[in-house]
Amino acid sequence: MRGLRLFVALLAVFGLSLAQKTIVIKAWTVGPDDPSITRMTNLEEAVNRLNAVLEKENADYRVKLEASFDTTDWDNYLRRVLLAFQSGQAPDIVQASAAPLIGVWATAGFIAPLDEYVNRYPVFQLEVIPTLWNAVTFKGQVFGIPQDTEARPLYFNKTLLKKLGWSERQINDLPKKIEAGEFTWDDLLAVAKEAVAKGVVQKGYGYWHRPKNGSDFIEWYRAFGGTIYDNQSGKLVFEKAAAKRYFSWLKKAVDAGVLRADMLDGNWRNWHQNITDGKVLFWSGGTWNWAEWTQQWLKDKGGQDWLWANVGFAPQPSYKKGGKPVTLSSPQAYMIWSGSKNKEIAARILAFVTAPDLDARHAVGSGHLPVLKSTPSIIDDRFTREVSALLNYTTFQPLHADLPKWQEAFYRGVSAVESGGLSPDQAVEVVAAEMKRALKDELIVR
Amino acid sequence: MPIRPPSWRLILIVLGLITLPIGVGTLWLLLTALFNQVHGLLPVGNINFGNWRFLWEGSINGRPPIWVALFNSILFAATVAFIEVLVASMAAYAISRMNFPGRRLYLGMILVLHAFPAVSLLIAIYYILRVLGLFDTLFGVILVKASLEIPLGIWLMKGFFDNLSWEMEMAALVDGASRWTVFRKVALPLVRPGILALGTFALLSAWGEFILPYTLIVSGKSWTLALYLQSFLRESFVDYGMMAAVGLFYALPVFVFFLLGQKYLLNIYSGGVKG
Repeated sequence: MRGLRLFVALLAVFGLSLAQKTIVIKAWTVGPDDPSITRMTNLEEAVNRLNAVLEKENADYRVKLEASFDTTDWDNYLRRVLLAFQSGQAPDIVQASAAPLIGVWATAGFIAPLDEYVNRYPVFQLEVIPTLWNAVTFKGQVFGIPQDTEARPLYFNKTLLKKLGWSERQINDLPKKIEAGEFTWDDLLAVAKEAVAKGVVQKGYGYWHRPKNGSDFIEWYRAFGGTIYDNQSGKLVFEKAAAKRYFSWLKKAVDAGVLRADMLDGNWRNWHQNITDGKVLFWSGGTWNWAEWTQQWLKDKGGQDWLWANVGFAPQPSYKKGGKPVTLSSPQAYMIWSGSKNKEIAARILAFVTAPDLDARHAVGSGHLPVLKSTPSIIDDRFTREVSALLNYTTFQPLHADLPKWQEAFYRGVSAVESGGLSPDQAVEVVAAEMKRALKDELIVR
Repeated sequence: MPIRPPSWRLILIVLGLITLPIGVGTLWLLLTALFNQVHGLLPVGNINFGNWRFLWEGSINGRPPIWVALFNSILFAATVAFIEVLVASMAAYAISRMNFPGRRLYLGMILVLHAFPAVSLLIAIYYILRVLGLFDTLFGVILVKASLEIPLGIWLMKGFFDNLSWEMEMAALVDGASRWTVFRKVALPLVRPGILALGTFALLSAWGEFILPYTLIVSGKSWTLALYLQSFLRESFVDYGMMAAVGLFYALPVFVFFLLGQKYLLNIYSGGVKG
């Protein structure tokens, strides 16, 4: 009798294990900065929570996540994703920059619209900061779930400013002056020029921007008064006057020995190293750099303490007195592959990953900014708190499928001006011609 | 007293100078993998086994465990070598011993095939694998790698078979052995040095292969060691200590293999029956 019972029990367990399916969901995420690994681990945690709920619901399946996190670089990651999309073997969930990728991938039919799920799970409507939906909406449909956002500050080295003779108070007031439009790009140039002249920094180390192409150039084009998108016609815009102002400023900066003529050498290592060695006076970067510096570059120098002692941040100044400063946010989003057989489950995982505690973990750990309304109330982190104020000045990239072409042409202009190949006037004409060629009637030149 | 070529000291010095960069590079790899920091070739700080933590920590920052990559690499290299030796030796025997129409043209075409570098074929290969449903699989890359290497293998093995004397095979045939038996029992054992050389060559070449898996494998589960190593090459922050350790780990089997197999490798340049 006992033997029979045992047998029945075993059979039941066996039967249950047969009945319970395991559904594998694949997810690809990318930093490329190491600290952003929470983009992957948060998904893993979300799947754990989902499985706990499935157990309560007595569902006949569990979810297994096969996730990867890419730390090489964006080009490499996007190449992989594109090959995977085209070969019909893409992961169910893909994380990438909302702009311009949602525009590009939705146009190509690679990613699925998510409106149905956004309406089904209340957490999306209740928690996600409303303006972020604009960043993931393309032609009236939602194609992504906001994962994080960030700001791109103008950083300055406080110690070097002190050496230049600035008082503590002047240094602390700098962000306010920039916000009020009292400290412009021309003022920055003058200060940096003085620092080079007095030997406080080496020639070419007065102001640094990123060493390769990226969305930051849109931010600076805007800081110099440029408009990139025409809401009415849905076309991209190139304003010659704004571009000329920016190009001329770059030319002046190179001529004055403030900016290196070979700034666009693509060398991020050199960029981080010199900044964290305290050799650069002003530089434009991203909030996530703060986490990279803390965890990687300044590990032996005191990490965040070194940063608070030596580095300050503000939005990117305006080009004219009284103008509004800007910064740029390029939210990351989780998207679902249109060919996925498990869209429902993938969407449910995204509902679980949209949780304030996970959002907070990512924000603090990686130097990004939260995307959920109730996250700030549970975060106790000085950098996140202070840098969040920059969001008052933030702008987004337009979701236009051809934005990369605009960026490429603009970047060529920047590169030609800095290396001395073209004058600012010539560069503006070359960029306008190149954009017209590449974008045809998707562009308005003003 | 071994026989030495004239002015052997000079030759030794020249060879030494040529080998120096490789030696220094390997030394740097060793030091960087073992110490906290290395300035030039001078270790600073203590011995640091933390650089090797990829061996005992399952996953380093989201990468698949190195054992998965190691297994894939071994599977990849061994299967490629096996297919290459098998196909090349049979094809070479047929070309060397049998007279069939278009033989010369065929040989010429094989040589042309070898003239294409793999990179120039990548896009076409991608489409073919996609159609076959082999994209993003290790098996697909194995087929591609093997087929790109086979032309060279055939030419190499043909040289070995050409050097065999025909009499022994003739004798076996007269005794009633089939063509297949002659190939297996008479010819193949005689070209053993050739097979070992080709096998070693194929194994090393597949072990170091990067561009094919890099392009044709997109998900982490099929990573080979080359891809694992590449993932440490970053845009900004590079953990050189760990990268050197992984590099050394990746190179170790090659060193061992080279020491064990160098005499077969040299055979590639001689070939045939001795004496």
